[in-house]
Amino acid sequence: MTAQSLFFIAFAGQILLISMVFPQTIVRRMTHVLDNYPPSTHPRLYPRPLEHYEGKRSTYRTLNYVIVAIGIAAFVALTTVDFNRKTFGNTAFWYFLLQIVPMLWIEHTLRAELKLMRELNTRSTRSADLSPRRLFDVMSPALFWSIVVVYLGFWVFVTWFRQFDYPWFGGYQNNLIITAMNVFFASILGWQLYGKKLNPHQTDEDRMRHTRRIAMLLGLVSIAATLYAVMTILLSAAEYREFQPFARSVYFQVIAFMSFQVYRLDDANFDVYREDARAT
Amino acid sequence: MQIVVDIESPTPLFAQLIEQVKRAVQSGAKKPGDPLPSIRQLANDLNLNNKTVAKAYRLLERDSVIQARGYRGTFVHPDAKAASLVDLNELVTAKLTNTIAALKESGATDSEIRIAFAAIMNRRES
Repeated sequence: MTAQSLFFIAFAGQILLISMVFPQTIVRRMTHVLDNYPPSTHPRLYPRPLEHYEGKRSTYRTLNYVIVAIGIAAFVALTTVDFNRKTFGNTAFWYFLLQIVPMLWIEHTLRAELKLMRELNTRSTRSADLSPRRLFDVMSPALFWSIVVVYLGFWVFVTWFRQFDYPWFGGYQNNLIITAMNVFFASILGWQLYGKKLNPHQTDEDRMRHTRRIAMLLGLVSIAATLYAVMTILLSAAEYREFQPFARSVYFQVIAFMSFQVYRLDDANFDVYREDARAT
Repeated sequence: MQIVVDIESPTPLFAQLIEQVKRAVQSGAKKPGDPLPSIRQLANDLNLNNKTVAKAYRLLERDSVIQARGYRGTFVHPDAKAASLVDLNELVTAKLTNTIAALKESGATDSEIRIAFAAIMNRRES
């Protein structure tokens, strides 16, 4: 199978999975919440009228439909041109950036809602757990050490690879990028662990569960990104560069699959949003 | 073990924290050597100023209820159970009340007592 055919299969998967399958799951979860925890029984969950949330759900769905249409147009356009590694790879990249816009918008909307929730919270009591939160409370040692091994392995790999003196090889710049990514992820996790509680009604158990999911996501993305960097370098060295657009598209799908796992609601405690709920 | 503060209570927030940490120690929910959350974590969780929690921790440390072990964090003091039974604030208030009553009986006025008290405290601090 040619690199071009593989890319088209992967790109079709990228369009379908990231802009159709995963968003539909999110919309189903939103609908589940609106149907099963309505404002009449869970008023604290809705700082604004119900119509506002139904509108947001509709906008989210429409945004994804538009992005699917753009994806199909890009797909068709690529079938009419000759295979070019850079053009195809860049299309997958820029399209992925477009695909994550609805996710970022949802995240931004969620933050605005939580801010409003905090402003409307009239309870005078606040509670906290009298135990410290530590990294290994939210991340398994196996995952942590896997990240460390992969990261150090990448340093060894780059140091070893430098001896071949490829003109295209960025050398330690690769390490800089991966290190910056890991520092960024560590700061996100630190903020999740020790930062201010954004949802005034969230229980400590729910917060820990959410932080565990974020820690797992960041850890897996760190490993995936490092392995992707290794694979890209190896494909270039082995003169299989034409497979890079395919690898890039698959990589985006893996990242998106992991990211969507964070938005789970099945084990959240919704009783805290009832009118008569105790302070959390 | 949950800690609850009421921001509308007339009791100062740092005093509520102190009381609840002591109660946790007395009830056995927190045992000697148990770790406690960092000042920043507790302040963020309770949406309080860091200084409020720091003040509570400082007073708890003075009372030997907790002990800070540098970068390792803050832990329940080995003598916490006995220490949390003694309320130093109550002791100070009781002693001062008696002293002020005795001074007034001797004919000292409120302002004389205040000036003398401030002078002694200032001399000690300098």
